[in-house]
Amino acid sequence: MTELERDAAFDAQVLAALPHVVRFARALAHDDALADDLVQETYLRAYRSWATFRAGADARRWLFTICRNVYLRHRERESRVVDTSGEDAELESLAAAVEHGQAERSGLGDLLDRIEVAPAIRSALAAVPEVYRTAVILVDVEGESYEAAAEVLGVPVGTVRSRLFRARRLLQQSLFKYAVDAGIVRTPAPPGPGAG
Amino acid sequence: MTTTDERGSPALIECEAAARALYDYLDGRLPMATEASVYWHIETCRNCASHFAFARRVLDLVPSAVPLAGEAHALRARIVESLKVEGYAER
Repeated sequence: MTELERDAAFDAQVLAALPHVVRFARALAHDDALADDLVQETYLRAYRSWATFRAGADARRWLFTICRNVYLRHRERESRVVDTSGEDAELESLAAAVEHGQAERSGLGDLLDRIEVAPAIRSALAAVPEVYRTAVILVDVEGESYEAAAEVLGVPVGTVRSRLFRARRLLQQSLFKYAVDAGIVRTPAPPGPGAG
Repeated sequence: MTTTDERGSPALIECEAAARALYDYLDGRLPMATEASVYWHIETCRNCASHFAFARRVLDLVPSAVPLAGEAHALRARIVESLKVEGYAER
């Protein structure tokens, strides 16, 4: 492969994924300027190691992996956030359902019809710790499988599942709080056991 | 969770078992027999149907709430400039 062909392949597979990488970086960093720096560094590293990229592999997934590693370098402390979701993902599902029941009794059952949903979800996602938020971005936003997300994050599939379920539950709790803050109901949002 | 009865029909499950299966069900990751049990439970349980519908709707709304970054022209130009230093030849 000539250098020109190599760069053309890089354009087609790697630069073409830029909007996805930007979205991923912004979800990680919550700071557009930092996210842009992360993306630039991600592309620099990707270009330097492009020769090692396996033909036919998923370039977007590869970029997510690099981007997350770059981010963790920037935020060494974030990388040490303790993942407390454990392996019992079913408990997260159960808790989410119980909390929804409490929310319904508080008059929040139809909150999605009464709030501006997109900003509410963005705000709620911002409140979810990065270790869990990344699972939502990969699976629920980017549409990656649990297995692909596990590859990006370097963790077992069961860990992705428990992080994802914890994230979704935290997201739901944050939406309830958002609705209360927006004055939709006067009663406090249902308490979220283990929300931290 | 028992998922079929002696005739092979989906077994009846309680609300707690259905709730524990919430996200696996929504993600289509349950074994077929368990999925059928959850399906029949939420068909007949108003409370669980409401939980599942709410969770489904939130999951459906998440992608559109986090839109793609557009073309990001300025950032792309910045990246290309930094790659040129590494020997990248822009087409």
